[in-house]
Amino acid sequence: MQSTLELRRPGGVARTAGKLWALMAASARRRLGHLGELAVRSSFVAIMLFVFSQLWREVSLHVTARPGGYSLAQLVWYLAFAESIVFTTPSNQEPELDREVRTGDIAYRIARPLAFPLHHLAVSFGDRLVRFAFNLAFGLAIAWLLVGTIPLRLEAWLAAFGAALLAISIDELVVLTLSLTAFWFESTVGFHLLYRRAMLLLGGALVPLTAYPDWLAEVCRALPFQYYIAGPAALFVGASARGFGALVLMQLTWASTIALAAYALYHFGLRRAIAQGG
Amino acid sequence: MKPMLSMFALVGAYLRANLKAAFEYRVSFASEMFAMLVNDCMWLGFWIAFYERYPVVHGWVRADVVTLWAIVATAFGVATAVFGNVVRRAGIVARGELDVYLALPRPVLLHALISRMSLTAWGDVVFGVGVFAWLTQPTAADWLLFATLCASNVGIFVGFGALVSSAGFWIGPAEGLAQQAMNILISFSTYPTTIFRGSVKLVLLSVVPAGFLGFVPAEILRARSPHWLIAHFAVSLAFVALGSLVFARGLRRYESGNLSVVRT
Repeated sequence: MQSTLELRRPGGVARTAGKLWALMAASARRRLGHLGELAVRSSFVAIMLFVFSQLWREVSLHVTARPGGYSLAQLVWYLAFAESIVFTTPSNQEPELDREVRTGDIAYRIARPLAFPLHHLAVSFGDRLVRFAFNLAFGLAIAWLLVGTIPLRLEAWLAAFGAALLAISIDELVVLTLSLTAFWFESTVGFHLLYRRAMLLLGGALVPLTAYPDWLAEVCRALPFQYYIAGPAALFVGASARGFGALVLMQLTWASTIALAAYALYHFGLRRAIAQGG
Repeated sequence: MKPMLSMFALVGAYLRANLKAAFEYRVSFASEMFAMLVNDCMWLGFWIAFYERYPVVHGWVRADVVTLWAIVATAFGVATAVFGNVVRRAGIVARGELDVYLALPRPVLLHALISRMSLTAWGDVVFGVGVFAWLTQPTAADWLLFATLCASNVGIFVGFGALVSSAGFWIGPAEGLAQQAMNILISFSTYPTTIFRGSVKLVLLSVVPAGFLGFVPAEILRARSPHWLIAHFAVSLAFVALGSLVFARGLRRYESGNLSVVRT
């Protein structure tokens, strides 16, 4: 009886953090074992970057004003950083967690000595960190080949990396929250699809928010998607790390809200879980 | 003539069966279809806003952007609704799951492609047909041309998909590669080809036929060019023929996974 209880107890903050770290590291190592797949996927970042550089090059021939206040080179470097964040997301439409909830595999997962959502967060975050590094290497190399360098400042880079890691964490939390609705819905594919599209179009992944028409920029500024992509990418090409504090504050506020929603969904969702057979 | 009719009958039968299966989970079907419809509307809204702010392509107006998106979305929707395995087939080859089709008296490629239907595809079809009708006010001749070009586009999508998915016969796990190639095709097809220059433009009108999926049909509808229309049919037939040929060559190298699988 005693051993069963110990097995199911998380074991405090430090031990939980240790387990999360081990899962993250294992996931990152597994992803590094598939270098070909990583390279193929990162090459898509390069292609997107090429397409957009062509588009903005045409724009610069027809429009005298700088789009959103950015030069062509700054735009391409902005997009390299932005696409590197966007393309860390897995390509499958339905995350693993949804499938486990729908098929009942969750019955095996919840018996493990780590909360089921935390397990998924750690595994996914480790995977996405490796993808982010690869995407960034590809993206920045292509940006450099396409438009050369831009003045970059170390503090702005560090601030952008910090904000990007937080952005990926928040995205993970949102994906987790959407996936947990699988306790109530037959399919969550639609939710994920719409969330991804909103993040891409309203988060500043294709165009800096300042380059949008005024009405659309206002809409985007009222939504939280800007904290994922536009915020970190703007820091990356910015002249300084100014704005980092405000961005992180908003990111943390948003992360806390989403984490609470995820906790509530998991708490109530588990009551609905029915596992059959073995 | 009879084998051709028999093939159409098979495609029709699978389409009906797949639709019935989808309606068994109608909430899921409706939600995925609706999500894709909203997704496409968001894309279109974004590009209309973009081109209005930055008029990149001379002579292009809102109706041209709408036409381009309508044709690409409708054709992709029909292609993945009827030939639902067009994107997933590389994985079927890599896992050795073609056995079930090899044992049946029907063309293997066609059978493998039609045995699945993408649920989100219908959202693309509804979007494409809907925005074309609503935002471009087409005449009867426009509708006829639109339908013809969509059918020709389906040939390009399916032929290109069959071609890249066949890489699995030579390199094994090619699902990521095939998916990436299809993503590139779709992404490039939604941009006016005139923004590209030199060799890139040539590639988009040949190796990766993205220009023929969006820009060329939009121009045909705009300028009624018979030469481009004939070129479009030729490209469509060429990709279907090439996809079938490469699949047939690849099939000789196929190794069974010795798995018990159901048709998916």
